[in-house]
Amino acid sequence: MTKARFLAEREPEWRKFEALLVRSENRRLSKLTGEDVSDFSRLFRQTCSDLATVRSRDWGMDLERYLNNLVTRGHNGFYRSPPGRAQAVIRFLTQTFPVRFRENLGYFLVALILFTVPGGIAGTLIYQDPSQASRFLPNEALARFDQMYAEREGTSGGWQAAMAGFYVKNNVGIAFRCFATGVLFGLGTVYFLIYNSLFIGAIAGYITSQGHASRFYSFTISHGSFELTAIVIAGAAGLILGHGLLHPGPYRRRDAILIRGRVSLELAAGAGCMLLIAAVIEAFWSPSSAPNVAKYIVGSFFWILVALYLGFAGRTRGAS
Amino acid sequence: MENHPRHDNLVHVETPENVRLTFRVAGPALRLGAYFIDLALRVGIFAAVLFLSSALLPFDGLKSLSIGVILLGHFVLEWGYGTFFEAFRNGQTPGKKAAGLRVVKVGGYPIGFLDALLRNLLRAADGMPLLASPAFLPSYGLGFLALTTNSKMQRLGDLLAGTLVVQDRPLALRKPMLLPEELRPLPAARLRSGTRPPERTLDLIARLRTEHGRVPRARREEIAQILAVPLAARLGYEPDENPDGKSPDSPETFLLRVLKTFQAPHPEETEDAP
Repeated sequence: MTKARFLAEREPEWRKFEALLVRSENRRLSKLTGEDVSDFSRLFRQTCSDLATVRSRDWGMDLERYLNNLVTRGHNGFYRSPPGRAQAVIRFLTQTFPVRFRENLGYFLVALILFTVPGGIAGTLIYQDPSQASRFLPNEALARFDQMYAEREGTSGGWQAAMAGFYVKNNVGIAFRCFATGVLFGLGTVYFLIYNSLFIGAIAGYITSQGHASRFYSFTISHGSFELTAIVIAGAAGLILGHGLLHPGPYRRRDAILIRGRVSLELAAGAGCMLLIAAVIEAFWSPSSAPNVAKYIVGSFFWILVALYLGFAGRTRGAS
Repeated sequence: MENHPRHDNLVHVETPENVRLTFRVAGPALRLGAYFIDLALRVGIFAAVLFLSSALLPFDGLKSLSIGVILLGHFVLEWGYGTFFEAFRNGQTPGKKAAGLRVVKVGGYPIGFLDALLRNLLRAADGMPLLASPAFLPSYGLGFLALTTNSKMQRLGDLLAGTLVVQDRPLALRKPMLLPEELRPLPAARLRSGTRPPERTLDLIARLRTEHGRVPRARREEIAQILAVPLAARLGYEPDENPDGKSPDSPETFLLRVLKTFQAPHPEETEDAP
């Protein structure tokens, strides 16, 4: 077959395929008819074969590029991932995430130490000598805490929705950064964990030393369950990446992080979901005017809930 | 292909159908262009959110809601913009679509939601160090560094998610090149009968001509010279003889005449051996 005959014979088919591609790219797949789909499959295979023919006979760079373009677009349409389903999200939250958490408990424990020890030390120091607080926190912030906790009434009357927005933006952002910077040999994650640990520990130590303990802890106990746990989980996810780079084992570093990427992403995404729950609690329940006792009871309930969820959700009989 | 030294931006993928797909990976300049288009769009959407929700501000009870929506909008645009479009618009944010780029898996497959999420969360690392002024914008210094160290031009997020950014603009089938009317085909009598230049040589001549503006004139003449001498020998054509007594053809003109002679299909030609 000559190039001219080949072109004359095949070009109409390519044009058909091109038109079908444009239609399938711009429309939902469910809008295509059964005939379209079988045409797509047939034309895709034919174009694949035409590309191979053109390549083997050196029939021109332009032609090869054109057909390669058609084939890659066809391949992209043919193997398009199925549309996401709500079912997949539910399965992720009830199974995948808690199971991944338990599989990587060691990383969680390391992150937990990084997140509790520096803050614990800073908090204790400040509790014993509140004048040290300005080493960790700016003076304006300290003055604001004094004022906030000296007031009798709840502080965020009417501002719940705004605060919820702020907590989502701020806390989920911190968790995502804490996770993502784990790819820098774990350094970013370690920095975020220690930084936030010192910050939270210093605040707790200072406020306790000023005699506002019950208001502070009744405020933080409820959302702390989801929020603090989630930050540590995001840290664990970052450490998985960092560890993969430092100790790639039998793999090249590039492959080691490719393998660990998926697992660590699942942990980070789960942590993000927990922080969304935490934001709602922190904005609407924690500052409410409910009595402290009620807050302690509900808060404890949340902590037990988180522990049971991470410890047992998605367990199958006989396996972990 | 793996043993050849790399001096192009092509990535070859062999599919289960035994077809070799060739992708042209996108370099930093194209991607930066797409990034700025997306950035402008994100700023525009955020401005719209600001405008709409500030309409609620005068109402006392809705102040909080309005600020909440603004903060949430900022969050969603910062982390969700790229993920949403790449996952649900088949690997293309509006900026990437405008720049003719697409994100695909390393194996040539379309990307899924988790791939899109992972490569977009990693912008927090790729974007470092942040530019302190004006507003903690990412510099993408690390991403650029990562991209220059591997042949598939992957930033850290791409390495983790196993994705590539490829150039993907629909191409049109080009018509065979039109040659000037006055160009004479080579007289058949002066050619060794039965010989014809290989198809790839004809294609090369055509490309030399179509990429006219991009190849400097001197280089074009040089290539034409290299191509013309063995081609003339193969065809048994003596370029120096010129019946009109005019100066002989330049190598380039000779090549175009070859193209004119052989581009049209010969009616008597039979099937090539495959």
